[in-house]
Amino acid sequence: MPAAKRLFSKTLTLSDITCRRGGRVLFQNVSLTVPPGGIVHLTGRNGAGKSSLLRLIAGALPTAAGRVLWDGADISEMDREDYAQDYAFLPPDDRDLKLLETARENLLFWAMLWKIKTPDAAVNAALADMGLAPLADVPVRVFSAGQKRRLSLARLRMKQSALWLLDEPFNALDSHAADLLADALRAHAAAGGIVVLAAHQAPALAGVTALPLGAAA
Amino acid sequence: MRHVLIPHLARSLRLHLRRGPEALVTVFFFVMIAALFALSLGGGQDIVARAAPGIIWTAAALAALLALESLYHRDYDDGTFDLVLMSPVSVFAVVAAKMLCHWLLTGLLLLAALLVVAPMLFIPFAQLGVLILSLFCGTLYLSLLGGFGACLTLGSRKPGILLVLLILPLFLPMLLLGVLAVGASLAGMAAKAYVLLQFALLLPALPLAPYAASVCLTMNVRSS
Amino acid sequence: MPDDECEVVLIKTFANPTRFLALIRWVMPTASVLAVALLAAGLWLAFFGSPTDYQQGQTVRIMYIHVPAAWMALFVYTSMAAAAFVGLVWKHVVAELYARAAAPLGAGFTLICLVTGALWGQPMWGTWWAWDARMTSVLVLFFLYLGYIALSDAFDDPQKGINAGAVLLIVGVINVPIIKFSVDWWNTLHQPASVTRMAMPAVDLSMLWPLVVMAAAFKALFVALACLRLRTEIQRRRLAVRQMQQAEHAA
Repeated sequence: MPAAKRLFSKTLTLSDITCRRGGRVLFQNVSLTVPPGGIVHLTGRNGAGKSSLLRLIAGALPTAAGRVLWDGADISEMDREDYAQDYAFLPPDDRDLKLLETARENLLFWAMLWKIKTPDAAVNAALADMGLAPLADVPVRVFSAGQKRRLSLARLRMKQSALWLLDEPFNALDSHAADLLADALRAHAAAGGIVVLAAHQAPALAGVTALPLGAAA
Repeated sequence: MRHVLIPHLARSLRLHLRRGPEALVTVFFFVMIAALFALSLGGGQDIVARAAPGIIWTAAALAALLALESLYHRDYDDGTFDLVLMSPVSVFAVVAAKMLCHWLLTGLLLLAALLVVAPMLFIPFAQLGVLILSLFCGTLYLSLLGGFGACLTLGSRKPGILLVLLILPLFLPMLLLGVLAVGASLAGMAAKAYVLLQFALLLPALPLAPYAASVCLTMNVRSS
Repeated sequence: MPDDECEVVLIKTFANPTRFLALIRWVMPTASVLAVALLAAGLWLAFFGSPTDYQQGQTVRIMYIHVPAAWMALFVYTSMAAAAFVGLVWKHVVAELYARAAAPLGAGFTLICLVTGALWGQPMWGTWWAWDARMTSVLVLFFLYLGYIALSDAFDDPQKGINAGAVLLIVGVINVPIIKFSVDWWNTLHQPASVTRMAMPAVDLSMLWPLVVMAAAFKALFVALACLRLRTEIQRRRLAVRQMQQAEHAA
């Protein structure tokens, strides 16, 4: 297999992060440096703060203490739109998919919003990569949970960002789709991208760093 | 800006049309309220014609506020706004696009519905021009104000009714001017001054409402 | 906007309010005493120390409560908007809490104005209400107050309520002159001239004194009550912060 071209080269640093939600401290003093090509697996009980940490890295949640650095720069000081270009977020469920629209229409909305060049081609490629090409013009209303998940993942890959923040990406996926996803993660890491994912089981990949969360950690 | 407007227009129109009957609820509501007013006033031409400006404006205001929840609060509830904030896109542009979509789906339809409501309220077709111009300004203002109110109430309890309670007092100046404009026209007097004042009210709202709404959207969607 | 470090948040929460609480400790009793004294003086002047109007007779005396109440309604709303702006932009804790403290008081003054307006109008025109310029404007102001109270209470997260309320106040205060102008204009065109204004008699010096004293009395009363409410709000927030600290240490 030819060596993957390095598309991305930025580093993610979590520096002494404390997260507080609803008055409770979820975790404290979390630090980690993730070089390009790193895959981080967040572990912990339900409610330990895995989803919160993902949102925190995305800048959607403020830190109670500590900083998130992207390529050395504090994300809270970066322009929101600039940073948003560099990361792609996968929510834990697929509620935001519009059921009355087709798969293609759902992706086209975001493709245009994200100013992706040649949106039609990008949408077709993304659907094909996740095995959804035959369902492209089917309304999402009739999709199974696994198919909706794959659609959200297709949207994420379409964005071609360096940093992937995935909340329960393997949920509802059958083994074939899970393999597709694992391949995608591997390829992304090989290209220098960074993956941070919250999942109950460790992904079947090599070189995954585990980051346990919880106030006791 | 076009890359924000086109997907929002396409999506709004698509969803609105595919939801079927729901699309016409706004128009139906407008016509029904106008009919209700006319009937409860006794249906006599003298009273109803005198009350016509007020009836049209009140009915239009209430009907336009109906559609706000599906455009804004639904996107808040299903997490679309979360993803928008995590996109390299200007929130101002997104909100402005939504306000335009709201107007196309309510204000524009209400203007068309005037053709049905005007005769019901004994408004002569000759005066329809001023009425349409005045309501065009008013419904646009309402879409702007309504979008602001919707973003202000994202995540609150009972946003639908709260939104109406907050917006109506702020809408009062436009409503009064509009009623004066239509009333003057029906009495055969010049309505130009009133319509100009209406537009004077609308113009600063065009940039300010999306700005205020984008501030509120960012504030309310950000998780605490 | 990310929170600052824990310590800074706690300092911001405690330092300013502490100064304010110390301020309140001597301002409130002073204002209360002033309020009682001025109210007594004002009411005496209003009922005994000023002449009756040759047109309206004794009922004109209601004006001495009605008009200062209207002034207070507007003054309090404007002050709420100003404090909300400061609280929103500079995150000043006491400024943030001021609007919530003052809102019921402002609404109270507005209600007093509306009720006294009705009491004044009844003997003059035989109706308990008239859509004249002032009454309509005051009614709309009342709706603005109620709207603010409803909005700031409608969120599960109290900080979101404070922030949303602040934006509403800023937008509202910009609209107040617009509303006043449009109502005035609409009123002169729609109402017969006799009902155009709550006919305030040509203000004579002897009538000015009770007005001014009552206005000062209302201001002092407001300051006293606002101090009380602000103290409650500050202590409520302190309690919340303390509970948060306890939860952290226990975890």
